[in-house]
Amino acid sequence: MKTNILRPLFDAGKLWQGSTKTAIEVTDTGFPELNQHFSGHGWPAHMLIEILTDDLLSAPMQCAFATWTKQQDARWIALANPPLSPCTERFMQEGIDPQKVDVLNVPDDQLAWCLEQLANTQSMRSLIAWENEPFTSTQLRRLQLACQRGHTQLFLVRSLKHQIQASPAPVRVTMQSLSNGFEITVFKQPGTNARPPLVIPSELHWITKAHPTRRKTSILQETAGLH
Amino acid sequence: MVIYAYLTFPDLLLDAQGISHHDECIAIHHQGQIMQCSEKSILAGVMPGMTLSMALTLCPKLLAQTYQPDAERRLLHRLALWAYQYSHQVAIWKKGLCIEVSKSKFLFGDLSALTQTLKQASVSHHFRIHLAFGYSPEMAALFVKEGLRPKEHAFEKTVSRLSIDVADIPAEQIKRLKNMGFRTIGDYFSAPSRARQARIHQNTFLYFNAVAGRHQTPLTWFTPPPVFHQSLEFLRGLESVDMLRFPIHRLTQDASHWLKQRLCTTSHMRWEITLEDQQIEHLHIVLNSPVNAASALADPTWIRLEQLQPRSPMTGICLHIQQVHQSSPPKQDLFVKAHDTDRDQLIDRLTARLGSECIKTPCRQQDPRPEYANQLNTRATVYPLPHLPPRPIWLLHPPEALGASPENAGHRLLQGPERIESGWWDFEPTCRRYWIGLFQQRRISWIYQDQHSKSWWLAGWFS
Repeated sequence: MKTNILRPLFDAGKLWQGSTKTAIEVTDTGFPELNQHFSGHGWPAHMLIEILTDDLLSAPMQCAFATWTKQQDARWIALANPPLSPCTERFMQEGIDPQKVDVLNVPDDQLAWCLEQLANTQSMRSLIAWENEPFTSTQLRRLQLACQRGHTQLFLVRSLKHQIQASPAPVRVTMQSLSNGFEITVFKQPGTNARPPLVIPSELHWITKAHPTRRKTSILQETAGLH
Repeated sequence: MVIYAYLTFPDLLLDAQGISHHDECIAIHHQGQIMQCSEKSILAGVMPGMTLSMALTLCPKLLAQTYQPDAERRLLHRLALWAYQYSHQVAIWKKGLCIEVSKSKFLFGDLSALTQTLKQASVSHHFRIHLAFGYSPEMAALFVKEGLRPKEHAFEKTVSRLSIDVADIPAEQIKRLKNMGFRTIGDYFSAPSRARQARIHQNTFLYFNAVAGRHQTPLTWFTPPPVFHQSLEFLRGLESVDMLRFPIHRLTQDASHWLKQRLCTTSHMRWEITLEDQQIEHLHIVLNSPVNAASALADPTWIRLEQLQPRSPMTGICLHIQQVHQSSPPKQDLFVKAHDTDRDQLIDRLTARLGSECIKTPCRQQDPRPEYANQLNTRATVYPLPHLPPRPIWLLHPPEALGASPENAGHRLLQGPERIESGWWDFEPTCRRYWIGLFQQRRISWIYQDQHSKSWWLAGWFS
């Protein structure tokens, strides 16, 4: 009886049980093995996703790129307070239109407000933000609600030390870079329990095999100039 | 026949002061005489027409305000702008509004439906109205004066029953008409026209003809002003910016009406906040794209104002809109998405609070040098991408020095080189060889060797 009353909330993905299939909208992670680790087979599309890591540059952006390239539409994506300047040509090589990308650099004390505005907007598809000053639980809750209202996906990159703290974010993962890739552990997600760590190997095939543009001059210079 | 609506505003002088008078004892006086007073002061015994000293004796806490003809005129213009949405023929006439509604009644239904529409709109705009209809403004004004609102078929019959005393003519003329034996307006019209014209003053004759709808008084029709300039004064200085929320809402609502009536949009707003020490704070807001919705005008204003710290209490606020753009009404297209418009509002909100430099777009310029080709700008310019070797996710601006050998800095060369030689035209010549390297067995770097100095530099990170 109680379940029937709560059914609309379950169906809308606003409430879930420990081991039930959720009907929430997801985006392909870009890694088939990682998709299997999520109850919905992908990153939840309208939720706050906490990425807890000490590797600010590599793994979070690889995950974001992988899912952005898999699912594109007319809406925008954004990077808030990125640690370095993103490369436009890489966006284009990944098939992402740079004109649909916003890069924001805002003061730390304005970041939560700024993210709420972005997440609240229906024109925003997905965003990734790097937190410098820790957000309060209320701020995180507001961000989650903004994601639901605006149908926006927000990857929030936070320090690994926040793992032991409770958070209103429905999805929480840890990432650690390894020599052969990175390890990801989904320890909180809607509809299922924590999952064991998963290693996503680095895709280095494009380095090892000769690039089509590799010209004779390159080889000549390599032999002549460097050795 | 042409039908006119005449609207009067019982609280016109009080509303013109721009203050809430519902819970206060306030009276407007002119030359020592009370002209209008609030409901609370009426309960205390104050009446219009009373002397100011008498009113203050009856109600010691009465807040007496001097009559301001300019404020009254400004409010009438604002009300005319509001009424303009119901008819394109609106005139400010005898401290009220005269609206030609012959065609509007077909748009809104019959006259009673139009009355309901006007009454509801006035309630939502927080002002009281009295209104009536007639074949001429004078006829409608007489009905308003007597508190009548007859149906269209009963206009003439109702006028003929009205006492001659209610006519808006000098008292001596009324006395003269009464001495002639006219008790009602109907009695007056029952007399032969030639006899009336010979014996009665011409103005009075024309007035009664106008009352009967037989003579048209020339009216100056209102046209929306070419620029929007509206201000609100505060009776007591506002000390907190939060208290400006309601005035801003009201001004942006009016500006939105004005823009929509002119089928225009704007992207420039100039706000002036008058302080108690006569200083004026100027606030110039430039929007990302032209808009005419009240919320799109109010949101960036409010975000900018939140940062304002006035030195002294604020006594007035003024909104000025001069630059407008013609706009076409939004097309009801099935495929137009809501997010096309909310992005403009998002950028307006962000730039209002964080400045125009906070949000940028990755751009690609036509330059082989990576630091010139990859830039962040406020305007997106993306030249097509030629066939290039893989580029890193992150770029370092400026590059990080690695010294004479990349291996000593922990970078092992994996693939390369990609030769980039360019920049001879702008006196910043570049001659580099780019390599993909492995840093500390974990991360993929993008490094280069400057061919002039032979030094190595870290240009970016792949992962």
